[in-house]
Amino acid sequence: MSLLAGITVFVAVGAASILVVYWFKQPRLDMKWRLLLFLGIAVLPTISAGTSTVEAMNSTSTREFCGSCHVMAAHYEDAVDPASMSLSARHTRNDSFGEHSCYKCHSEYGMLGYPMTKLNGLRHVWLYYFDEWGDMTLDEALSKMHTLKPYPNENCTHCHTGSGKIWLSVPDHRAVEAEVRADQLSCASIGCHGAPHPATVRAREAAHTTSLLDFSNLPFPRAERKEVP
Amino acid sequence: MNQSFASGAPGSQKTLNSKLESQGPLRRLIRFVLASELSLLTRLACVCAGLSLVFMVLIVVVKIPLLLVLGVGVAHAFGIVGVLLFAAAVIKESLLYRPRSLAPKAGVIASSPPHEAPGEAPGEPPASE
Repeated sequence: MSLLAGITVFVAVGAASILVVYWFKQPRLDMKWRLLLFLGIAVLPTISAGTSTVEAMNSTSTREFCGSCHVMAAHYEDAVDPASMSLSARHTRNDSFGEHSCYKCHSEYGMLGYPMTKLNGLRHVWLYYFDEWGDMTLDEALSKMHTLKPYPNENCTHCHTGSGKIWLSVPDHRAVEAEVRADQLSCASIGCHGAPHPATVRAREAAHTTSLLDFSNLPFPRAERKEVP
Repeated sequence: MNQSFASGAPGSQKTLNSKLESQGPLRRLIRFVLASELSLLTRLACVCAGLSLVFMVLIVVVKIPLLLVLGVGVAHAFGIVGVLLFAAAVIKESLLYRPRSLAPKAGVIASSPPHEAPGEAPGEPPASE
């Protein structure tokens, strides 16, 4: 249990104790009991609401939360596969933010980035529980579901600056710099650093009769799993 | 009061029902708060605060995805209603119980305590036989 969760439970138990004592004793509402009820109904629940909300928001940003819907199973399994060399798997293996890798790459940035990302997450919950997403098979989901808008390169350049010497020294970067900065070419394109989620590409390929892509030329093929002696 | 309510005419109950139905939920809620006893209001506030606390603890302990998403809103809603009910109870109590200086003086009340005989002065012990 995290510190915030512990504070929430501790404060909630304190508030509940006041409420239970008041419920059974039913004392006259004098100043002492007014203050106690103010603590039990207003102050302590407010503290508990703050800590539980922060804890819940943190929990909804974890990789496990994103992978808890079955339509995300393939992406989740690929991301946590230590042998996978996909873009999502390599970011998930990053110690500094791997536990929140889905959120880190798919959240919007800027002042309203956090609430807008969470609002979009609420839309996902609605579509999953009250629309067709929850009834889809995994194959259907992989071939039909798509991001709301094209993935912005800003999400990549938030960490990978795109203006440093190393980035500019790569000939391919210099060749497509204008297109990358104008969001006309995605960093996560196949042939550049993608595909981020190979399962989606494979499912869409299987859903079409004509071949869209030749997967033998994927830039980051699945690595051979090395057996530990 | 509307005359049709007091008259006891055959259509008065119907008129009352239609009048209540025509009121919005907020006005009906305010009327309910005004008509309720203090203990009922504070008990309802306790129930709402308790439910809010239960949801908060469930959010951080159980961590079921749907509960994480919807529980925060439900907990906040119960908490806000609880605080409003408690505030209503405190305000109503402050308005109902007037300060001591404004209270009716002793002896003005016509009815005597039940243990006193009609001829005795208030506060004196009953005469022994």
